[in-house]
Amino acid sequence: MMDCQDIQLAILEAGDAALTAALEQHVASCAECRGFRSACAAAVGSVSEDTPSPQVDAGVLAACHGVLSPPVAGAGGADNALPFPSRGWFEGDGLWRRLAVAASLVLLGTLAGLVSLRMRSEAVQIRLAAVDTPQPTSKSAWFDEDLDLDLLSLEAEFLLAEANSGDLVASDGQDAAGTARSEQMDTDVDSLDRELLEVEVDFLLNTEAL
Amino acid sequence: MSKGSVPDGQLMKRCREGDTSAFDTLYGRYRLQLFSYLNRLLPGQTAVVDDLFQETWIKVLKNVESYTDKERFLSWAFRIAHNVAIDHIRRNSRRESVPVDERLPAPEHVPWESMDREVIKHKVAEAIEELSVDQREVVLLRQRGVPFKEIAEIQDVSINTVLGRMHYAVKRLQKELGEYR
Repeated sequence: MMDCQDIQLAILEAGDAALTAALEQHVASCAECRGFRSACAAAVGSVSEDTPSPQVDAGVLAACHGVLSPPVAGAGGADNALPFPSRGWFEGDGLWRRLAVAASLVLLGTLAGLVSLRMRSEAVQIRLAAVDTPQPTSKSAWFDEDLDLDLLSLEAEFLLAEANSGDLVASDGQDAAGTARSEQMDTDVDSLDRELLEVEVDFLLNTEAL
Repeated sequence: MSKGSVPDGQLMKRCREGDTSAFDTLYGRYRLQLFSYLNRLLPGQTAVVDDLFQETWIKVLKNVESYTDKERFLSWAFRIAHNVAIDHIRRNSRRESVPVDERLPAPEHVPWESMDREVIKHKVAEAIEELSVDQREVVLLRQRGVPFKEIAEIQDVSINTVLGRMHYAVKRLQKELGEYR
């Protein structure tokens, strides 16, 4: 057996739809339920919509257009410009995205660490090699260059002397002059030998000094 | 949505692609319902309602991805507006409550049935303002054609709770109107 409250709930659920004959019969005979039905119709039926002001409309449209197409930073809308393309990046099915980004960062960090370790190891090996095999100092390097120049100039002199002796042979038959030149050449050779010896001695002394 | 016009789902899809004209159409279609709902839910708070109304539409766009064609756009938008309003009420700790009195005496007859339609509308609006937020919301959503089942989803309560709230609201309205004999 339905009481008035059950019938009133049935009136609510029915809305605009018709009630069953039994319910209609009860409502027709019950002032309370009839009043409830009328109040319900008045409550739901008396709809008058309020209108937002033109300023509100304009504000909503401007704000929403900004959301739909965010202004480019520095193009007059810096206040509304987003630092990132979209906040939605972290929304929706963001869990998988976040996990993927976290994994990428971890991978990147590991790779950077490995590269850094490798570079350090190479630097240590180079230093160790430098300790095992002493390199010539700047002074000895300077000395080597000097020695090379001395030897070069001596070779040049020797070649010049040889060329002069060739000239001597070519001037056939002049014995006196030839002899003199031959003696001069011997003297030059001796002089070259001495200079070479001095250079070698200097070299040895300098090497020892180092 | 009127007959022959672009369906809400299609407009939402275009909004997802950044189409502002689609949004303008959607806004024009539902601005009155959403504004009235908030305005009646929070009576006498014009500035707050204006802000919440804007916040609701921004959230509609920010949550555009979560909308599916399966649900009515208006119910979905009301749910967003509900959350915005409830957040505001919680923030301000000014949750209104009217003591529940399920045993309101009903008048023996219905004298206000002969009242002018505009007068009834005004009295109903006044009576609705006297309700608690939850009860008021049920009436406001029913006025805008939202089924009880969807109201239950919006308020995150059982359908019986929603029916109970509506029943109380109507009884109270019946009493208020009965005083204007």
